[in-house]
Amino acid sequence: MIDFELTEEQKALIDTARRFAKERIIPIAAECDRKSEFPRDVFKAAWEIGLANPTLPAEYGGPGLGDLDSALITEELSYGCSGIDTSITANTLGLTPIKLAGSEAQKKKYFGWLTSEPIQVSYATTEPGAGSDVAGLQCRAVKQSDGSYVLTGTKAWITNATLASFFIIFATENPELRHKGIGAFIVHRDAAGLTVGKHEDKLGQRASDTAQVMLDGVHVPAAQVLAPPGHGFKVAMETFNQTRPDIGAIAVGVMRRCLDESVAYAKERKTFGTAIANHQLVQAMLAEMAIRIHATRLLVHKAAWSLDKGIRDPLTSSIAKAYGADAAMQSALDAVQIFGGNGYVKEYPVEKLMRDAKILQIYEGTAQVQRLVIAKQILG
Amino acid sequence: MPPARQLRLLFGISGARPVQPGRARRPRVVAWAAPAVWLLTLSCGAASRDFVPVTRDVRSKGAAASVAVDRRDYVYIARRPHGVVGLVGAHFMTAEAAARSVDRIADELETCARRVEQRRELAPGAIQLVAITGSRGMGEITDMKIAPGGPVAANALECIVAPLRASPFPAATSAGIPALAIEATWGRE
Ligand SMILES: Cc1cc2nc3c(=O)[nH]c(=O)nc-3n(C[C@H](O)[C@H](O)[C@H](O)COP(=O)(O)OP(=O)(O)OC[C@H]3O[C@@H](n4cnc5c(N)ncnc54)[C@H](O)[C@@H]3O)c2cc1C
Repeated sequence: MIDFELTEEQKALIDTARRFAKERIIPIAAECDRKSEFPRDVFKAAWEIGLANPTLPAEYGGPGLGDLDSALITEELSYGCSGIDTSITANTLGLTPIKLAGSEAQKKKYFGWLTSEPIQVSYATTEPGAGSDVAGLQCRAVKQSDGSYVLTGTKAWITNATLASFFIIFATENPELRHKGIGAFIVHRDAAGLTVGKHEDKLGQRASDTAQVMLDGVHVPAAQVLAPPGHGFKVAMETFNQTRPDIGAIAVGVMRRCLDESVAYAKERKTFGTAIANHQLVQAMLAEMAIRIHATRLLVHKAAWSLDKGIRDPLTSSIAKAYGADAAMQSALDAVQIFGGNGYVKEYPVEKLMRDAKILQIYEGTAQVQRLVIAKQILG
Repeated sequence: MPPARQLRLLFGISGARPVQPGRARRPRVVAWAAPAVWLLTLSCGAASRDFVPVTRDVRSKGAAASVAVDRRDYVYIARRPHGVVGLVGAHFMTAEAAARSVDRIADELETCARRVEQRRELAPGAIQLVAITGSRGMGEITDMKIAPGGPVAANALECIVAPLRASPFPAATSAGIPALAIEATWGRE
């Protein structure tokens, strides 16, 4: 049976997230973007009403929502500002490996921490020399006689790095083993030897925090080993499989904002004696934007629904991410086009949407890497 | 949607995960449909933000005040300073267990309402829902209706829905999956 009707609870979630975006995110988004600063009070407020960590299981005190619910929230928050949302949603990226591979004690401890305090989390696979090629990461994990590990290396482009209370760090016991050598480790922010680099001054999503993380002989107790070497790569890949629909949902939020801003402007702005909305070439751009929103949303909902049903569907997950990212980029370009010269200045919101959209084609697997994943599924 | 159909949807649990697959569900519609005035007010009164369910225990102002629901329509009522929770009906759980659940929900509602009030985000609101024992032994909501207006949905999610999801429910037995239907209001004097 196919059912596209949202439950009352989901409608209430959308209502709540939409109000939150309108009241708490939109009024400060431009300022956060200008200052390149993440508003921690907004995170705290989102956490208080259950919009942060939505998929954290209820048995550990979390909201216990499904992936589709999470996508609905993400779409609304991203409508407000995809940069602010990225830092909020990065918590889901950080908690998913624990959900997938954590022991009962680890779940109790870290999910308990996430539910009792508005803390942020980082997920770190990328390194200066290894982004798309996750299996090529070099950060070393050296096992000690007591089962603990010592980590040494550098992680790059880590969302929430400056703010995170703990990190999920992927490291290898031997780089030559590639994916077979990778493990996953929970590292506390105050661990000796861990330092966070300077906040990256980015093109877009400037309100989200991004920085390097340096690990210099960081001791990780055995109790914080999430997946021993040999088992971490699978956790990393499955995490991406589960969180990619959220990137598609961010894309939908960005596109909806592009369309709303463009429609309002097109009805107002007059050329040749009439509103530009009456020019069919402008209408075509608006129609294409609407098409992309609906197509991406369907993909996202299908991918998230599959996750909720326990159906493994990495193909739809990747397609939702790949198509959504490209669609958002095109919609943002079109929005700037519809605004003409006004689209090219910071007085109007669409230049920010264009800068923000670009990252969707880069993080959590670039546009090209998604094509590789999709092709692999198709070719078998 | 006609109110009668909404009633059926809400209390008949249709369109949601069945309480007990394979069993005829219609009789429950009758069993749980008693405080229908609540729902009628919810479904018809979208224009009125000040919708309230009217019982002796759940007081209200405004348009709905003329409607009275007899106290016996609720199996059990838990009142707290910031809210009231009424048990409409329960299945496959003892009356004591159902009452305990309602008390726990009312306690959670009270704690949460105080917290939200401190943030100045508490709006008078009301909710009806049907909750069953979910696959992980916690509450799982199958049907829900929230009064319209303001931040009511956010209050409902934070103060009723989230705590319910985090509450252990009685285990399912071969007889069926435990379920309870409740109605609650909060934020009224
Ligand atoms: C704002 C931001 C936030 C981020 N957040 C996180 C985070 O929280 N955690 C984390 O671990 N990482 C994070 N990243 C890192 C991100 O996931 C990587 O930047 C991304 O995976 C690409 O890696 P790279 O930058 O090393 O590019 P490269 O891998 O060097 O790729 C460069 C180009 O080559 C292409 N390319 C590479 N290999 C192939 C191939 N085989 N075939 C075809 N084309 C190929 C790529 O598509 C790309 O266009 C973030 C990045 C940014 C910018």
